Amino acid sequence: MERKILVPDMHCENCVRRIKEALSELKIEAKIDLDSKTVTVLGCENCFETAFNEIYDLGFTPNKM
Amino acid sequence: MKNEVYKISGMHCAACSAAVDRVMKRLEGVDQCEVNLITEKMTVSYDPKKVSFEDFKRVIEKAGFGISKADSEKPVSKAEKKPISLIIAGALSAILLYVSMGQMFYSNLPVFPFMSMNQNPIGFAITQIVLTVPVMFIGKRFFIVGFSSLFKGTPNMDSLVAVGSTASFIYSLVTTFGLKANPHGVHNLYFESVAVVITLVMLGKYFEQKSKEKTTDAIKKLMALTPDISHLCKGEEVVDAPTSKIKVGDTVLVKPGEKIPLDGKVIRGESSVDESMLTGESMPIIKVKGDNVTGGSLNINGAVYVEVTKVGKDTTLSKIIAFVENAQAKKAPISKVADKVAGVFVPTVMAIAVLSALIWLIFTKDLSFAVRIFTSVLVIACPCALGLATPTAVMVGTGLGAANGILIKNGEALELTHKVKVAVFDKTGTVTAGKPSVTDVISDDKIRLICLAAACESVSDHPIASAILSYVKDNNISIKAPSSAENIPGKGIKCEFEGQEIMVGSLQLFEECQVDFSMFSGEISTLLGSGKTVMLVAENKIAIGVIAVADSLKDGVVATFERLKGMGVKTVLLSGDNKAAAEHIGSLIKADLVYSSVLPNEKAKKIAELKEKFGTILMVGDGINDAPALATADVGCAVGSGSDIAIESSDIVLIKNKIDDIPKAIKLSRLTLRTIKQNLFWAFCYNVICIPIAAGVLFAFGGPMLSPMIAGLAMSFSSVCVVSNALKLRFKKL
Repeated sequence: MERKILVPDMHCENCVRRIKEALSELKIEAKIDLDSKTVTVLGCENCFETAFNEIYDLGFTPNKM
Repeated sequence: MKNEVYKISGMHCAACSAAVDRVMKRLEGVDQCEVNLITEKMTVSYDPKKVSFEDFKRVIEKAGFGISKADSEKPVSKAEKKPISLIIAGALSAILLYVSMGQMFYSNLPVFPFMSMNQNPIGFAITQIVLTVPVMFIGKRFFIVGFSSLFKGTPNMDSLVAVGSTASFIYSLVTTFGLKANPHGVHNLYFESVAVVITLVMLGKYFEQKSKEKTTDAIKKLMALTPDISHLCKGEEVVDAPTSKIKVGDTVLVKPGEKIPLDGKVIRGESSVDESMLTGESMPIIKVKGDNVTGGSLNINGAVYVEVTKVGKDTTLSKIIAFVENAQAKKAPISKVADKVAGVFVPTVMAIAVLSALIWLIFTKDLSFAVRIFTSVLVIACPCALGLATPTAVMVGTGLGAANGILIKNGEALELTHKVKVAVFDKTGTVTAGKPSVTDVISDDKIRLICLAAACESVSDHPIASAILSYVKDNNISIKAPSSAENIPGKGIKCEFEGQEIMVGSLQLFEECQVDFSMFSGEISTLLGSGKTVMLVAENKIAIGVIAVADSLKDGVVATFERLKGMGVKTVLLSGDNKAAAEHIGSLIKADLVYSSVLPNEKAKKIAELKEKFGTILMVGDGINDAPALATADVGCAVGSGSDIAIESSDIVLIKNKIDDIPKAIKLSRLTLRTIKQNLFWAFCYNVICIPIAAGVLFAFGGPMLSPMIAGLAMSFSSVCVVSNALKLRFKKL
């Protein structure tokens, strides 16, 4: 299953790296696109919620799409 | 409420500091929070009953940053640690080479008896293990990163180091255990290759790290442009106050020679202001009541009172800082040649190792022999010469650049410059001298005209006056001082000279004084059309001639543009000046494209557009206004005489200030890249020959298995080839 999270305050490659590292530590598979400012979570509903909370904890303001 | 200052580590860009700010503000009990990226400090105002340092630590560490009390000892950064570990690794590797390889080539080399290869093979092996393990520990990062990227399916240079050295180490370790039964196995130890490879790759990474640290210096210097203290006006009284405390609507006094602290509007006084560092405009601009001034620009000759209109993040300077920060953060890492190669090489070697082991297992049914084949292939593929291939070429390349006055800050820039499709030049200060000079003198009696103008201007310190005076000096014309002079700010000068009333000034001044200059209107419109500044000269209220001044081209610019075109590089002129001036210069240098009236914050945008359209972009600039564009371009190139900020934001610095070094830099990059490719070829040549031998191809036809002597010789030969090939680059002419 694929679900998207919009992260409007993801500005740069550095932000992408921080999200990527945090999600891969949790073994969550995700595609991060800086241009569209989206994180596509590949996994179950639980993975999606965990990813969403993790991005929030990183200091971003995520929105479910 | 309690106020505390903490030190935050791990922030790289404005987005990081914003993230710290957000996670802190989400905590209940935190009233205010300010995070400064440059000083790495966070000031928090909070309610100690609701929230504590432990909470701050929890959320900030969760967000991926570090926090410590501001007064606590500064943590030692990774980069500061590295030289020590590098020196230790280097020293251990040197001893290891002496002990192992030294004895192989010179059997009577002085060593302690317990580490003698022939007398005490086990002691010889244990000494090597003792020396190798600390080096492996120091370089543990290569194993962690290398294996993790290998398992993710994206092998890089680190994977190659990790796989090769792990195989070498395990193979040598197993051989050590069998030494008692077979002392001849001492020739099959590869501990030194493990240590040498790790040390060499560490050295390369250290140089990389050093160059990366410099990037934040640019921003620190930009911040330093604003004076810390401003003269704040409170009614009739003027008091000194910290610039950070100044609010919108306050009035500040700026004395001659001082920097304007913030953006604002002149409400009293007049002065010429040098905005060249911010806007690229070469001439000082006269500021009178009602004119806007920009923070960071230099007030030259008069005291002005400025009503502040913008503070903090809204000022022009702050916006430039934000631009540079963003551009630097957005620069994606360049994929290096060695990493690209490793991406193909590692899976190939692994496949050969597995395949050859399987084939031997099927044919011989001997598992131990198959394992030996498997490790031999991995050991022989250990990238000794491959590790040297890029760093030596880059080192010699940067050295050759430095000898030619081209300072290249990092190897990545050197690798990337060869791909440049378009070279973008800032106009003022880069293509032109940045100082006006006299270009045309129109009069029936040119000598007399210039004598009168120079006499008048001898009492002025305006740049146009300097241009006229240096013209007089260059042409050996002697001048006399006027008996009296009156300066009309922003318009011109009137003086009495040998009993005559002389006036030198702008068209506006002549119109105001009702002096007819219609006889020169044709020449004037031609001069204005080519972007020149026109000054009229009148004697007793009768116009007698015209003097035009313009920014002149630097030496060798035309030839540089021609050479670039010959190299297949498109040339673009980018200028903040008006269309006529930019296009005039553009036509002189035969630029392929000319963009005029580009505002400082638009320069970076233009570079991004060009990047999308043409590919790899090189930008050449000198001013603070060029810093965001220099950081945005794939390769930023600053002229040595330029501002510190431009130099810090760039990848290449032309120390000699000569623009003809640009084609040289591109040629240098092309030569270096060719050398890197040749080096990689030599390094692979060794592997192409040795891997089949290790895989047992010769053995299958009755030849040797893998003679360690041949392997050792081939390894040294490939390294010597790589180093001498790189040194050859030193003798190339740019």
